[in-house]
Amino acid sequence: MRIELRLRWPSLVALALLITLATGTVLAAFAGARRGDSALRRLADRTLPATAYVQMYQPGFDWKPIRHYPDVTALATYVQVDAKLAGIPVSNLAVALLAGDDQWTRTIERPVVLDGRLARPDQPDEAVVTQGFVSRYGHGVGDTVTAELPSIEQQGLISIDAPAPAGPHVPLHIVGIVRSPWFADGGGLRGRLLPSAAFLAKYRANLFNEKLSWFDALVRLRGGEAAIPAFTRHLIRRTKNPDLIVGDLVDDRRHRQRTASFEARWLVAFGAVALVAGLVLVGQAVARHVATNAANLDVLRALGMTPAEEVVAASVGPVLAAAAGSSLAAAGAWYASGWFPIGIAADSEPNPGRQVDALVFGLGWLGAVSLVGLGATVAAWRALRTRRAAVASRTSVVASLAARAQLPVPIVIGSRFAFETGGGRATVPVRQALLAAVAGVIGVVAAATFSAGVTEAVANPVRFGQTHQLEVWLGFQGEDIAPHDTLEVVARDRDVTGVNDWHYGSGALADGSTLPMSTYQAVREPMPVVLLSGRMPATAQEIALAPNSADAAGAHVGSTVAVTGTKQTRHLRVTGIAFVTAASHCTACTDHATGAWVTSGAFDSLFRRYQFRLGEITLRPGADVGKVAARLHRAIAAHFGPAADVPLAAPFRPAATEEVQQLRALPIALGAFLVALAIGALAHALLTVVRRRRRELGVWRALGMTGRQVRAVVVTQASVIALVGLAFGIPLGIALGRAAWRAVADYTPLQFAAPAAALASLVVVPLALLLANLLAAWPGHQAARPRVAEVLRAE
Amino acid sequence: MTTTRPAVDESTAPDVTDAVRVRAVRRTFTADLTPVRALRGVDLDVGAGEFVAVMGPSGCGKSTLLNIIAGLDAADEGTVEVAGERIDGRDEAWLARFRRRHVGIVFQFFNLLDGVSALDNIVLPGVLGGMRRKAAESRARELLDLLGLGDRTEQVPAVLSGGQRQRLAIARALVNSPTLLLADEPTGALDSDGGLEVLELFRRLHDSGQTVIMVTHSAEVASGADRRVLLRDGHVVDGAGETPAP
Repeated sequence: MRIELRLRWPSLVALALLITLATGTVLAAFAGARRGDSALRRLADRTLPATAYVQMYQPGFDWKPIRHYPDVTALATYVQVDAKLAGIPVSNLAVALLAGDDQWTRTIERPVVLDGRLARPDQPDEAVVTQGFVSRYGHGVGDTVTAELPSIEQQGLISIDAPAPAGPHVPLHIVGIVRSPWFADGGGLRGRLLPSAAFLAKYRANLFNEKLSWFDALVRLRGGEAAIPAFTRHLIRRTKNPDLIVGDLVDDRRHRQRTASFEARWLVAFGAVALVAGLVLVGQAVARHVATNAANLDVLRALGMTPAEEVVAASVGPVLAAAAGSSLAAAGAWYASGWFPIGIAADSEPNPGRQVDALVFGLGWLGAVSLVGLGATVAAWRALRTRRAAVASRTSVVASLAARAQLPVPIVIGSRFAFETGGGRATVPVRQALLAAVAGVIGVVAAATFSAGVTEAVANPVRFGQTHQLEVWLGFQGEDIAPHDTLEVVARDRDVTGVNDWHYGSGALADGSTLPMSTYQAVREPMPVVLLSGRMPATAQEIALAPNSADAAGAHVGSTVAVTGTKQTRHLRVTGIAFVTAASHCTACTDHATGAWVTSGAFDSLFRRYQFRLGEITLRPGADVGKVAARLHRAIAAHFGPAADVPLAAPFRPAATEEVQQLRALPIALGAFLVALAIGALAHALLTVVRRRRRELGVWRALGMTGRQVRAVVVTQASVIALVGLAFGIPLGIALGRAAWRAVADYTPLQFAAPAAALASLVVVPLALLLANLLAAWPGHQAARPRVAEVLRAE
Repeated sequence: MTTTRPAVDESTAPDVTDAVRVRAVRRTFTADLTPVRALRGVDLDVGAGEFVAVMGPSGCGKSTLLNIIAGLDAADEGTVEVAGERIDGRDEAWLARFRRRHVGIVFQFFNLLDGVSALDNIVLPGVLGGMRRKAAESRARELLDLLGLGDRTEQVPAVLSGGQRQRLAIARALVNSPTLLLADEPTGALDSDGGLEVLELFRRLHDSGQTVIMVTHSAEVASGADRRVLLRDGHVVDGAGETPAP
């Protein structure tokens, strides 16, 4: 043991570092997956999360009696506003809601404080923010931002060409960074600020229109999610307002948990790939190390060492290296834990920062040491049984073909080196290098293909069902705020290719789950809709369901579903599965995959009145949205008079866009890991060739090969390995990238379009060859050094 | 290293009487921080078509001399002329091209290409030496037949006997019809039968006009040569050939 440590410590250090890299990556991925999968549950356990939200749509409603409803354990009121922060576009919705009382953050949605403290409820100039606000806008604890409040006349209007806020400018001191299930980043919002309840009290005149505004509420029900239907009935009875919306926040958390679990599975897959790669890499390294040790033990055997003692002596070094490497790996995984969890779970982690996952780290440490010990023992046993056996290398077909094709000798020899393992002491890990090269190219191409899918989808809202580029606000709670023929005027514009008169109502499926319902009513030309199957409804007896709602109802094209509105329950025939329009006006309608389309006739038969009404406007491809909006403004003013101030806005960005974007990081990280693996394996193979085949290279020099030709041998070997990687890696990488993107598209869901892979495939070819040649430069230089006589004498 | 001397003309071999002319060659190595003076002023002439055995005890500088004549090692001092060309002071690339044309080397431990057929072990150096593959194959088969390996063309060295391997190594050394055949202990790794077999082969090659310099420490093996040169402590003590001009 002492002899081995003294003589072979560089090799053991290299082995330990390899084990560190492989084990550390696996531990970090598995611990990150566990943490991400549990983040939302751990946050909910600590924060008294709300069971439901209530959108009342009833100005002047008094919430006090509801607080005393037996099943309500906590209730906090809030108001939705469009306050502007200096330097932050109002469309970013940094201040989207204000606390109506001091219950929020105390008895319900009591957030974890990541930094600083909660805002004091009696201090109108204090606010807390989310972590996303800090990272997005650069303002954290101790900083002050300025709220530019609207004048009373400006309230409630979000418009592309809205004038600057004309109300007071109020400094807000950020005193804490907080997080709770409800008050968190995500769902299309990143970077939120919540002033204290005293802020609204002080500036109520600017922020709250007593005739038009109302308070919504978060409630925590004793009976949990199961108590929501009874609570809703109670509210409707009490308020006589069947249009109020009670949103199921438990279901919302379930959806987020499902996404977080999906991301965690990706991370587990990443860890599994790293584990397999690590097993191959470390396994081969251990086998080589042990085989060399076994050969060196010949002398000790002659001196009386038993075979069992030889096995132990040959294995103990790798086991010690595994113990050291795994300990370093655990330290590395602890350091890397600061980057986890990833994706949607990152916004739900109650304890961000570095953490020790004792279970994963402990099992990982034990597993790594045990596997290396087992592998080393088996390798030592086999090496001792087969030592001295002459191993003849198999001749490479490619090298033979290269020779037959009369290619220059360095290319023939380089091809042999790329494919032939050699035998005995000249054994070179060519299979490992070839596999790693294929894996590296697969990683790059798959990551690029997947990334191309993400980029295309994020840049193309149509993938999320959003086929319109402008919205015009037409009415609220059954009352139109725009002139009757506004959409007719809009539809006449030369750049408008489709208009939908969108009415929204919150319905329910037979199981009680919310069904956001929209009308599909064309004005002149219909707005295109992303249909996944079937067709759009054409009569009052028909409905097209969004995919998640179809799943919830167990419905398919041709089946019948029971839908309940505020007026009645009806059975409608499903004509198609289609994405619906995501909107920001209600929490339930931010998801393009949940909801339904019906005709105006069906809608009117289900609902007493609409809750929101918008005109959805599809523009000609390439049209300038801002210019069209301004032109439409002028057209409406010209048609109805200057008093007709109809707000036009860009549509809401579907919440799933952000979730998909967050998935991009993992394949890129996996690709980078595989590239690092390929670089390591190729560099190792090239250096090993130069070292273990120096005799052969020396012979070639003696036979008349020049230094440049020797360098060409090494370059050829590297290039051939890279070419093999490209030949197998590009098609496999494209297939893998597309399969992964297909899986995400099906899961999200979004409209699948095969991601373009041509550019990645073209770019990866010269890059791989360039990289291989760069890696070959140093070994080639070493191989060409003029010391032929020395090499031949030593060998 | 650069040189102002003309490049090797591979199209024509110079008309020379001496195949090798070595003058006042010195070579010192450093081993474990200690200088080892391997050659201390060696003079040696080998005529064209001559078969010379260089003898001496271990460490006397035999292999170093052979390596310097082959251009595999460089003398610290002195001049070396092979096939009428000064090779001392030349750069590596020049020496490599020179070896292809003028020098064939046979090693003690064969140094054949593992995993490559007997035929390709000869063909590839032939192609490296500038022959077309077809011509190299033809030449290789001719040599294999000549050396009694005609039925082993597709076999890899690992399955050949020691004597067969060395014959294959000799065939490889001869593929480019070198001016000079250098052999470093060619029988050292062979049993007595194999050694005699190889020695007989060298004799036959010599009879056909091939210049051969063979390093050996065996008097029996050396007895087959025209002339024996004895080295001791880095000096030629006997059989240097033509006395150098003052």
